[in-house]
Amino acid sequence: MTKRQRNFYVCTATAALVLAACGGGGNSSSNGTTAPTAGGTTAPAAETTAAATETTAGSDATTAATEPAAPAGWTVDTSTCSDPARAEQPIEGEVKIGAAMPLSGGPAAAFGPVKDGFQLYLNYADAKGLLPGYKISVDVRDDQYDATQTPGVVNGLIDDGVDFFAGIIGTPNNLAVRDTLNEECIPQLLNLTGSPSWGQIADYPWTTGALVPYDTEASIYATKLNELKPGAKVALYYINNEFGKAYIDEFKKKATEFGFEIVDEQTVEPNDNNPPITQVGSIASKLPDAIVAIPLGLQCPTFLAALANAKAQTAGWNPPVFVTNTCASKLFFGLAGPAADGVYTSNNLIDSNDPKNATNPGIKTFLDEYAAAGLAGDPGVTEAGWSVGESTVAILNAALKSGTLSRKSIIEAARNLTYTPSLVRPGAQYKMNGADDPFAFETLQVLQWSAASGTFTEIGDPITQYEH
Amino acid sequence: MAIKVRSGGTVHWIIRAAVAVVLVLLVWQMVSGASPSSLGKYTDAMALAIAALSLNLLFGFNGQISIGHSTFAGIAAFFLGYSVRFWDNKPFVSLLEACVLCFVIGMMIGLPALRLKGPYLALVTLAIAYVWPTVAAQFIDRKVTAVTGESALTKFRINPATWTGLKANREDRALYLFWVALALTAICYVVVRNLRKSRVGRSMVAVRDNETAAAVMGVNLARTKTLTFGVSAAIAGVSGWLTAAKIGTIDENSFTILNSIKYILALILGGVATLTGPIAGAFAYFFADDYLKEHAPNWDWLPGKFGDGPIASFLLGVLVIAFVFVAPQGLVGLFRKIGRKIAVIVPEPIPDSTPEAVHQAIHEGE
Amino acid sequence: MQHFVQYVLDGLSIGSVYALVALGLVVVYRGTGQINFAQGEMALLSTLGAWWFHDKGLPLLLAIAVAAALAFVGGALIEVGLMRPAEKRSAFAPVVIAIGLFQGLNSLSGLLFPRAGQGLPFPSLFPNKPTDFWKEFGVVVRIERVGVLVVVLVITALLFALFQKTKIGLAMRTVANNPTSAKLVGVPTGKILMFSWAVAALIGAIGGALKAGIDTNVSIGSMFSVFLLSSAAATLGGLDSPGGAVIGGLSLGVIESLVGNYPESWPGSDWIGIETRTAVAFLIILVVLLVRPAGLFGSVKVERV
Repeated sequence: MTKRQRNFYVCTATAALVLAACGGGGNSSSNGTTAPTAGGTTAPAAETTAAATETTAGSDATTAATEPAAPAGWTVDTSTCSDPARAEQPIEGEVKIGAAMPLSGGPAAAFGPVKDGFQLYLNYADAKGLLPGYKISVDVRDDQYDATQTPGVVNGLIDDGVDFFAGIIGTPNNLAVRDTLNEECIPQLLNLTGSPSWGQIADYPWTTGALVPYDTEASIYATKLNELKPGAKVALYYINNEFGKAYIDEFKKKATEFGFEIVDEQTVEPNDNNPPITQVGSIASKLPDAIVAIPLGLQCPTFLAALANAKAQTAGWNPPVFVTNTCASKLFFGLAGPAADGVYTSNNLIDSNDPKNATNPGIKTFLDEYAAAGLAGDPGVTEAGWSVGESTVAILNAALKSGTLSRKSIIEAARNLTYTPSLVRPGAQYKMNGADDPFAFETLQVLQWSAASGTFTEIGDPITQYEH
Repeated sequence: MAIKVRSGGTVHWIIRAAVAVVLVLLVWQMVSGASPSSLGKYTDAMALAIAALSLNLLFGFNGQISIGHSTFAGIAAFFLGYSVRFWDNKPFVSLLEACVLCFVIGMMIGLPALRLKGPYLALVTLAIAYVWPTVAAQFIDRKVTAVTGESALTKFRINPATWTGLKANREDRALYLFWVALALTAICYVVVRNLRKSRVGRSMVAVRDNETAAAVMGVNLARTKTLTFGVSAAIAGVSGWLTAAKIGTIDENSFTILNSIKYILALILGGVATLTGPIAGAFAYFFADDYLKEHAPNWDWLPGKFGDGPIASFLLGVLVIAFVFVAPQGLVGLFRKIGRKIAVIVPEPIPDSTPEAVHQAIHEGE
Repeated sequence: MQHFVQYVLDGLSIGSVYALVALGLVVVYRGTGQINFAQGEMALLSTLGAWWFHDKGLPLLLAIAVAAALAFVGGALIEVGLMRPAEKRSAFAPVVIAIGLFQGLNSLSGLLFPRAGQGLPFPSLFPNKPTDFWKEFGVVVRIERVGVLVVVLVITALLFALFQKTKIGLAMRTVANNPTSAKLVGVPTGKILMFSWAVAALIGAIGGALKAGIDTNVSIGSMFSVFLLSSAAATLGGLDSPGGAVIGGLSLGVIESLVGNYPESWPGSDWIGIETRTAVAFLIILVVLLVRPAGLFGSVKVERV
């Protein structure tokens, strides 16, 4: 779904409640109360003007986790639940969290570290008693990243009595269980995908996402590119599925707005792992001023390698390249080697691979637990799972503050919460505000990769878009 | 040693009745007190069984191999999703229409198949399965995402019919779909069985065994082969429809070559060219897979630190290979071998064995 | 014109890997009449083996050689230990075993090399820095691509010599022609089949290593689509013809490259995008098969009634 459609959707969905929220200032929420914000106020009428960009300076936010604010405002309607009483029934003694993630099959190795981080934090929170009066248990089951298997896994977990779900990986996988979970009124929190679909609060109030939406990310790249090369001739390279399209549709909109010229558009099929010689050859022949690339997984290093070859073959051509932050791991850039040098990408988490962050309290706790658990591999990926675990516990604490812990109070806490997780970059925060802002994270720091040092350099300040 | 049982005699009927009773008890056992997730598993297993039945018709009885049957399942699934969501089609009407659609497409694919044999035919069908996800993704992009903004076909779930008294929630929907699956499996089984025992069925087998000989005996090769392909595709469509009805969300990756490979395994493990083999094979394969996935990661006696990883998938591969040595003719072959040690069905003796009487008896048998 | 030449060259380099894996398929098919579904995953495991030896300090060429030698032994063991006893039991058993191997070897690769799912860096046998190319008349020739093509041609020549000039090659041809008669005239059919599987695994190992070098990495999913396209190439050339496999593989690469570079000239290209190239390639194969049901160079078996 495009940004405009999304805003339209959100606006119409809440029109009956709050006409003012969409038309006027972005600060009023459905019941007239405003959750406290840590990072300043939002620009008025952000979604209706061309300059939808809000840049937040990083200096005024803290790096340590702030106390979650008590939930207020948006409430969920349980009358349509298949069992309304169950949704409000208090959870006693132990809170059971369920998740479906790929543990076997091809993508398992890539996502395994996320699962490790997720479990690591929840076990840590349980051991430290971070949810007073409750034992936290987590049950992660295997769906092999196959969306036809996710419903079975989720059904089994419901039958086994999980209280809610968090961190299910994959857009199709989350889509496949969204109807069931909303009908049963079971929270489906912090989906580990950036699909814009997780903002449909009117139809799917029980479903929320954990990543910065892909279209928001694309919009941030467009903003940065406009600073670097106004009026650039841009070539697009993207994976030919919903993931790639979510970026590209939004980027094209922004391109019209900023006056970029799209000179070439090349796609790669999801199952194609050959070097994209044909596509990159076509892009090089157009000599664009910049390239925006949305490959997936191992297509990232093969694309960058093919591009490096094309640059060497085309004298005097060395355009800036933006790649999706799903490529932005030490692993993929490491595989690409020198070909990845100078590539732009983004993130909203502090890089645990960078030695300069070792003293950051959040990173330190994470790395200590990481080492204590005997985990190996890329902590940069594990970090994402840890952060989702942390947000989950923050939501539970906020729900607890409201009086009772129940499925209803959990989703209401998740959707009325502003807090700063310990691993996010200064300036970014978890912020949801009922129907006004159905997305948790909408801030990204644009980064540039240095192949020599194996670290990222921050380019400018973090950019926040659409945050209300 | 083995008891001789006369075909069609009282004892034979008692055996048949006993089998029927066991089947009913088995279904009863499945349904009573079952959780929605285990009912869902039975439904999945039955969807696999229907796909294996369809492949058996084509491969087992007609000798044409197809690695593209996942595509027919996918077409029917997309038809269900799209027509219910956007045309307000009735789900069961969409089932019939999807079958017709798959039948026609199957006939068309059956045409080039007339000239190709064995691995060459396998390749052509494989190509179809390989290209399908791309076409499906474009379909979703143009016809679905453009309208709904979502990357999959959604919101076409089937609610229980009102006369059943079941509600539109997770538990009741699982139960309802279980019964729908059971009915569809039974229907597909009867269709395949009756087809096999009909004149067309004998033509199919004759073509499989020797095309030239069959043609000489007056079998219309082209008609038999394309017709079989069409019917088989329609049954594969039923399987895809059922899967989609159960999941309620489908996209381009819901039906890939790997699904076709599952169909082939279920068929061969159950018993090629047997009537009940595909069903037995599908249940055995599905639940072996399910059991390993649930338990194998926790087995401490396995060497090394395997973690949650691909151990279940590895053991399934090993199990499949080992099974071929235990039961090379599939589960049905294994049961028959055991059964033959207990009882043998002998044909009814022909009272008058003059050539004329034998001739007449054979014709009556038809 | 220079573009056209460029596209053909690009296609040849993509096609050379298909050609190599297709050769492996043909060698097994000639002996057994079976398509080895596990060919791709056998190649995957040996490539990961090569990665491991290289990671432990062996020079790349030696690491690949050791892995290929192990693959040779492994291929022979699969034939003796699994395929041969299974074949005696039922006609479908080899298919199931090949599919079981396909799944088992892929998962085994994941078990032995847990990080291979994300991709392991794999160096190329040939110079492959961005600047390693020649440019003549506007046509770019990358040294690595030429290297891979040469390896494929050399292996084809060696196989040809093996089939045509050696005693074991003669025996292999006899078995391919008619296994029963071969046995009757005293050809040790069992040994020949074992040797065929071993050679196929060896070729696969080399193909896998070359593919990983071109991709600069190897992962659990590397070989699946290569296997599918290679089996298409083998079918196009004729499943029992080694020369056909090479020509089939190279033409498949060239077709893909040309269709990909001139997308507008193919009907339906706006519907299936870049994947048109695979769809068109499959369509061309289908047309060829309709005219020649046993592929371009395959021999037609005469059926007796």
